[in-house]
Amino acid sequence: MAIKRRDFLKIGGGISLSLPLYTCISDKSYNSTSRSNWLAGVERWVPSVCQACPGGCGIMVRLVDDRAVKIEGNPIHPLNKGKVCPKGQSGLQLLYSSERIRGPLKKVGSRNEERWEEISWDEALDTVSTKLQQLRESGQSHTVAFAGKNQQNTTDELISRFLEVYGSPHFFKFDEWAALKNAYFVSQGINDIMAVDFNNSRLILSFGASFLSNWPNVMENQRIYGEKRAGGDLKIIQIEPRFSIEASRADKWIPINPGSEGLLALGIASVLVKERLYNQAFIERFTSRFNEFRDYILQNITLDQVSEITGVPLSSIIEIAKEFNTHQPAVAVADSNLSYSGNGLFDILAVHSLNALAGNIDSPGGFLRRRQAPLTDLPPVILDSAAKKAFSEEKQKAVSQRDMIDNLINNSSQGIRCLLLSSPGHHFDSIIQKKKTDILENIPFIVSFSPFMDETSSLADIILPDTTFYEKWQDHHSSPLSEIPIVGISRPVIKPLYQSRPLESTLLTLAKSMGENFVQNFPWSDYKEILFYRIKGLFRAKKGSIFSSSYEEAQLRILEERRWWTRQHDSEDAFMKDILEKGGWQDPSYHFNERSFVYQNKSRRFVFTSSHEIKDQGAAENPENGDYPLRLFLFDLPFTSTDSGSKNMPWYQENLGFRFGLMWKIWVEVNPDTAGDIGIRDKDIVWVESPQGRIKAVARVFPGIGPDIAGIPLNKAEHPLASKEEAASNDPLHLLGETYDERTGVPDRISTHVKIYKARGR
Amino acid sequence: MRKWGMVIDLDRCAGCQACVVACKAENNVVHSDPVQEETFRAISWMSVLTVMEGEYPDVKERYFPRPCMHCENPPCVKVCPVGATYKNPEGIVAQVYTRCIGCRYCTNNCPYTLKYFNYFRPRWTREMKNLLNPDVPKRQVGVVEKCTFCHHRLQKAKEDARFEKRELREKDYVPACVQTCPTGALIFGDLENPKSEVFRLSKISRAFRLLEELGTEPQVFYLTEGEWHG
Repeated sequence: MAIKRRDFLKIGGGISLSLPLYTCISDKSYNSTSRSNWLAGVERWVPSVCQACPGGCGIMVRLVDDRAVKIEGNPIHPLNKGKVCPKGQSGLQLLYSSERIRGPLKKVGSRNEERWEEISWDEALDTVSTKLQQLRESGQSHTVAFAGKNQQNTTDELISRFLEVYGSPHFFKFDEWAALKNAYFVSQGINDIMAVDFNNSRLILSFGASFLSNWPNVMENQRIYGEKRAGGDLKIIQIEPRFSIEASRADKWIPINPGSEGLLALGIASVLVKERLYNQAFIERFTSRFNEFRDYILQNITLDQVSEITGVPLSSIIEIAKEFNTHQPAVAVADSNLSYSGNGLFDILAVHSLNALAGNIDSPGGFLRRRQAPLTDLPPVILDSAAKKAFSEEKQKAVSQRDMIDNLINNSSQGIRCLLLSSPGHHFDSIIQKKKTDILENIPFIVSFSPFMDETSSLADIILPDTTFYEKWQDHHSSPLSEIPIVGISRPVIKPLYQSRPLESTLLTLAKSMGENFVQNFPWSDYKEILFYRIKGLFRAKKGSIFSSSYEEAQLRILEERRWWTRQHDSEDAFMKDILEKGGWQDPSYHFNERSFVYQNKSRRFVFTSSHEIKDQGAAENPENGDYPLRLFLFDLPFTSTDSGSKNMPWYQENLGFRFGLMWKIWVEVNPDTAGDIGIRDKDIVWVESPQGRIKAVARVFPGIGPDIAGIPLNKAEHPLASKEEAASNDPLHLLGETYDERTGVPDRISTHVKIYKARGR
Repeated sequence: MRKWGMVIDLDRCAGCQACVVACKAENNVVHSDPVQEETFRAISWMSVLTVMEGEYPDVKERYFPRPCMHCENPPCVKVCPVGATYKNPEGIVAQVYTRCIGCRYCTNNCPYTLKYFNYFRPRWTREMKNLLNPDVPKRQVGVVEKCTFCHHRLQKAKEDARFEKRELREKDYVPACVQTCPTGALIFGDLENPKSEVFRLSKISRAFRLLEELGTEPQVFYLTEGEWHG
């Protein structure tokens, strides 16, 4: 018996689901030629997890012989339920990209150049471990840093463990959502992101949030959007300088001056406060410093002033406030888009205060907090004297992203001497764009694990190429933006291509070569063993269940909400076999009113912030020089912000400009009136120039952007197989000045000014 | 006999492009390059078209995914001199690449501009040849190609049904674009079966077809957006 496409269509169609359909999903193969005599090769479907973005949707990869040929969704994965986004659909282009690094490389010649020599794994590992040991023996272990993405998976655990045993506190995890975490930390004391219960809310008041195109749980949001638009009760108001995809799907688009979103939120709050349209009971029970907030708003916020700074008409502000009040439960959502403005934390805090006014925290249709999946912890680390010494000297851990970036690019006294890099993602790439020479000057030895030739690998002295996620074992944890804890099991769909090796096994090999203490702390033979050790915790935790049909899921949820749990497997082995076949584990129940989980500050309450810093933020910087009359607004295209790999997916890249009829060109969006003023016609080839540099783009006259704003997308490739140099030379990031968000350290994307003029020729 | 057709609910479409990419991945349609873009010779059997309406700040944008309409009365079939394109008994407008002589009469006669001529040899990198679907031919220069409603999937579904000694069920067959659509905007099925969802939806008042006055009778129905979108 075998699983075939038809079978899981059946599941997707919701007709029936019985376990036998899934029993042979795994490695067992059948020869499809026995059924269809016109098909070549042996067909198999392997369940795995897509990690092309941080979402972690369940996928089924179709293999013909040993080639991966198509990706479909895993119909019982609770996040995507059988659906796949365009980036996931292009995923195999990543696997079979010609930009893949074939084997270990060593930089030859100058560090600024990119000339490489192929070396063997033995030589490469030896070079790195010798370097690490030298630094450690000379008491310099704290000068070694690892920079990667914030993934919260077992790889993260492994890296932390490696650094701890080694004696370095520097694990820099770059996080697109750092600003949001900061905001929830300030208001609720949690160092985490809250999930939004779109399923039960009636109004989404979005302050530039890209919940339909860029959030890790986009598949869930799109499904809810589809269901609710087709007869449900959902209203969307999108407040954003640019007419984005979300704005086009919203009931109403409210254009706003970039950077003044927080002020508008306070304006809305002032209407709610003045008219007493807030949730008195919630405010009394669950919030503190409301009186200060109220007084601050009543004294400092006048709607006329808000209207003038934000560019939103007075009547609209009042109307939004009333709709927010009448369409409860309503959510006011912000995302990392607001953190690119220099002072994003205050914008996000102001937006979140609306949710507290409405009492929509830890309530259906409001903001929820996801529980952690109960994976087994790795055994405690035994530190040797060298590591203990290192930690006693170098106690402080880098906390904010800003600190990390400072630490990397400024030659501080505790400067990093050796940097290990594993695809830290887009933010880091944008820092490299601006600070490459500084980084190279300050850090004498850099190792990259990137599977592709990209920004990070260009810095490296040694490259130890990682595989893509299709070629290795991994656990994937759902983003905290969904309230359901999900652990997806990603397994190697094919063997590692070329000479690439999974980062995890490279780290284990390194660890084993670095002395007794490492061997003691890393007793596992391979990464799969570590992973299985942790996953078994899900069996022992006695909650949640392996992915199952929606009927079973609903029944298990009812049981669990009553604190019952049914045992579905007799043994750990049976559990492990089942979880691999189905693709993962989830805990569908959500427990409300666990106050100490949602509010972790001292007062166990939501704390209103009434800071004076909020007041001035809306005022756009005046261009110092009339030569640059337009305000630059850089925005992310769907799913491109989360990693640098999207440029290796031509199927995906060619469709990103679909709204502008462009496939392989960067465009600049200009308001029709502005275009008339500066003498630019639609589809002209133009230069966009700022004091820092210029790029070439196609001008698109676009009524979906405010006057005097120039919108340019980030991460748009200009050729399906562009070399890195070509791509880097016309990158809009070159236009940005040297201002960074105070908290997150990411470049400020909205306060640069530019001019646009026609380019000669093509 | 069945008549396969599609209903596209424009209320649901979020313009994400999953259908477009799923189609290319399933049907071995090579990605485009800047030259093809310049010359309007890129191939995409499914595309999401956009309509922008209004002036700043009162703008609206509509998205509509557009596969081959699989007309009941297909203008492309009428002009094909060699029988390379034909209407099959189950309602699919099919294309036989080996018969095509590349005269492009059909591409010119299709009012929906949904037939694509291979001006270029598909340029797959050596690595990317690995992901080619063996169920679908690679095309050569000089032939016309088009959306087939993933006809090879129907073939496979039929053979599986025969193998299991049962009738083909409607849900056994679904094109790649429909299978992946995250919002459920694309709905596929048998337009002749009164119990099917597409039958019901194609008869509701929101349903319309593109260029209906031409009498091509497309088997792809659209449902207009609701009040939220005017």
